[in-house]
Amino acid sequence: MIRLLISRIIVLFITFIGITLITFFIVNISPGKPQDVYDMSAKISYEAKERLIKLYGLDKPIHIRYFDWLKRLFFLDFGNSFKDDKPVIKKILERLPATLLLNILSLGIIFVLGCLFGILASIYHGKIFDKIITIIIFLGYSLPKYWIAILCMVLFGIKLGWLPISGLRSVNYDYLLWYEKIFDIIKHLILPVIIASIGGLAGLTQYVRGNMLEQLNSEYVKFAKSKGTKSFRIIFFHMFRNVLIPVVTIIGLSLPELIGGGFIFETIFSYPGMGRLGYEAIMSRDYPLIMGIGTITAVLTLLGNFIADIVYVYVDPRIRYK
Amino acid sequence: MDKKILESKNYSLSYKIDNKKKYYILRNINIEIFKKQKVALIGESGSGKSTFAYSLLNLIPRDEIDFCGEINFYSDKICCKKKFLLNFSDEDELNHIRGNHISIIFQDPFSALNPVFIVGKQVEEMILNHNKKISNDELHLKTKSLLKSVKLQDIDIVYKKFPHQLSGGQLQRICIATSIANIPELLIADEPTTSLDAQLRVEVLDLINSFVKKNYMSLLLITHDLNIVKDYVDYVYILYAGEILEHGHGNVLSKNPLHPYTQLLISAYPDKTKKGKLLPVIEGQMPNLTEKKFFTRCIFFNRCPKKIEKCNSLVPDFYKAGDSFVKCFLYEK
Repeated sequence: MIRLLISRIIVLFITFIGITLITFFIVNISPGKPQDVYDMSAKISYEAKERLIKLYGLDKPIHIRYFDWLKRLFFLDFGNSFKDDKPVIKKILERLPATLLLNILSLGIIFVLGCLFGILASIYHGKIFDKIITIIIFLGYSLPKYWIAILCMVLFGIKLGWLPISGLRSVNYDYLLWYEKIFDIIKHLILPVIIASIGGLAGLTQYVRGNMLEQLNSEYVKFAKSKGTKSFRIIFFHMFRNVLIPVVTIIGLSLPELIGGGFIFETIFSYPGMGRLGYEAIMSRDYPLIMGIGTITAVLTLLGNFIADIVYVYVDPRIRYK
Repeated sequence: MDKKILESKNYSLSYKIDNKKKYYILRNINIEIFKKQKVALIGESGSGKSTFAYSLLNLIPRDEIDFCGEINFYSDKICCKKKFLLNFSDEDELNHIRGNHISIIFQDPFSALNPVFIVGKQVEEMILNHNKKISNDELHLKTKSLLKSVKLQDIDIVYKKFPHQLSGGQLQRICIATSIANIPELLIADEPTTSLDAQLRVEVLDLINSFVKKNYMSLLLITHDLNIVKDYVDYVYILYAGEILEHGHGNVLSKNPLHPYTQLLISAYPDKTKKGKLLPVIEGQMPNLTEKKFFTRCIFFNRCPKKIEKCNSLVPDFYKAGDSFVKCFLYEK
C-alpha cells in the first residue's frame, strides 16, 4: 500500500513538471505578446515597448525564463501579474474558493444523480423511463454547454425572472441577514452548477446504466438471487458496489473537464471563479497569471486523480491486497 | 417409496433472440425427484441442463423467456404442502423458497461469489435472508461451524478473505457451505466440479454427498460426466438438445446404455480399457434449436448411427426396456 502511494506520488510529480513545461512553452509561443495588448488601446512608442519587454523579462531566451519560473515556483512565488502588478497567488486565492465550491457541488451532483439515474434506468431497462433517460443523456452529451447556458439564462433569468444570471452575490448582499445570504448564494449557484454538471452527469448516467446491466448477467447476482436475497439489496448492495469501482475512476477523470469547462461558463455567468480569471488572463496575455492558474489547475486535477486512486484501492479489494 | 418433492410436467422453455427467432431450449421435460433421492441430469454443453436448473429457482429473467408446462415443488417444511409453480409472481414467496427450500451450487465458484465482499459475509447473507431474528453472535457461530463442516482450515482467517485470495477448491467449499446453510430439501449442483482439479472433484462430490445423506436432502446433480457421478446418484436422466432421451437407474444405465446417444456418450469417455486407441467421436452437430422442423422427428436423427426410416418422420415415445425408459424406436414393442 505504502509502496503504491510512493510510486503514485513520483508519477504525479513527473506529470506535474511535464504539464508546467508544456503550458509554459505553449503560452509563450502562441501569437500575441503582453506588450502588444497596449496597441489596441493607446498609441505606444517603440521605446516604451522595449521598456515593457525588459520589465517583463521577455528579452531572455525561453528556456531560461522557464527555469527562472520553476525556481520561483519552488518557493511558491508565482510572480506578479503583468496587468496590475498584484501578486498572482493573491489573485488566485481570491477566486479559488468560488471555483472549489462550484466544482465540489458539481462533482457531488454528478456522482449522486448519475448513479441514481443510471441505476433506475438499468432497473427499468427497455421501459419508458429508461428511454427518457437515454434521450436526456444524448442531449446532454451533444448540446454545447455554453449554448444551454445562454438558453437557461434567457429562460430562467430574463423571461421567468426566477434566478439571477450573473455573479455569486446580489448587489445588496452585505445588507442581508445570514440565512438570506445563504439563500442568495444558493440562488446564484443553481444555474452554474447545473450547467457545469450536465456533461459529466450524462456521461456517468450512461456509464452506470451500462455497467449495472452488465452486472445483471453475472454469476454472483444469480448466486445472490438463489440465496433468496431481496432484489433491492442485490441492486444497491451487491451490484452497485461492483459498479462503484469504475465510477470512482470516471469521477476522477471528469475533474479536468470540469475545471477546463469552467473557463467558458464561468465567463458566461460572470462567476467570480478561477476560470473567468484565467479567461481574462489569456485575453490580456498575462503570462504569470496564466501560468499560475495553469499550475493550480494542474495541482487540483492531479490531486483529484490521486484521491480517486486511493478511493479506488479502498473500493476494490483486488487491488488493496496486491 | 419416499414422497415426491419435485416434478416437472411437460415443461418447455424458449428464449427469444433479437425479438424474431425463438430458441426452443427445453421441450417437454418430465423429471421427478423423490425425497432423499439423488438424481443426475446429464448432457453435453448446450443441451439445456443448466437452463433447467436455473428455471427451478426462477433465475432466468422472466421477460426474456416463454415457458409452458409446470414445475411443482412439494414441501413439508411449509405446512400447507405448497405447490410451487413456475409463473411465480410474488417475489417474497419466491425468495422464501430460494435458499431455504431449494438451493444451488454453481459451476464456477470464482464468479459465483461477489468479488468485493469477504466470503464470511456472503455465507452469513444466506442465513440472514431466512432467519431475520438471529443474533450476531449466533450468526457468527453458525457461519463458523458451517465453514468447519465443509472442511476448511483456519476458519477465522478464511472468514475475512476476499474471493480472489482463495483457491478454487476453497471457494467451492464456501459455496457448498452457503447452499446448505438452511438445510434445503432439494440441493441443485450445477456442474460443481467442472472448474476444479481432478483430485478435488472427488473430494467435493464426497462432501456434497455426505451432506445430502446426513440431512435427508434430495440432490439434483447436473453434469456432463456420467462416469464420475454414477456412484453417487440413484437415478439418471440423459438430456440431449433440450429433450430427455433416456432415464433409468444410475448403475444400470452406465453399464447397459440403451439409447444410441447414451451408448456413444459412454463410449466416448476415456478409461483404462481404451488406452492407446482413438476415442470415438459423435459425428455431426446438435440440431439448430431455432428450427421447428427438427422437432417433428427424432431429435438425434442427424447423428444417429442406428437410425431407421421411421425416425425421420415421427417422434418416438418413451419405451420401457428393462428398468430404463428410452425414447427410441429401436425399443418399440
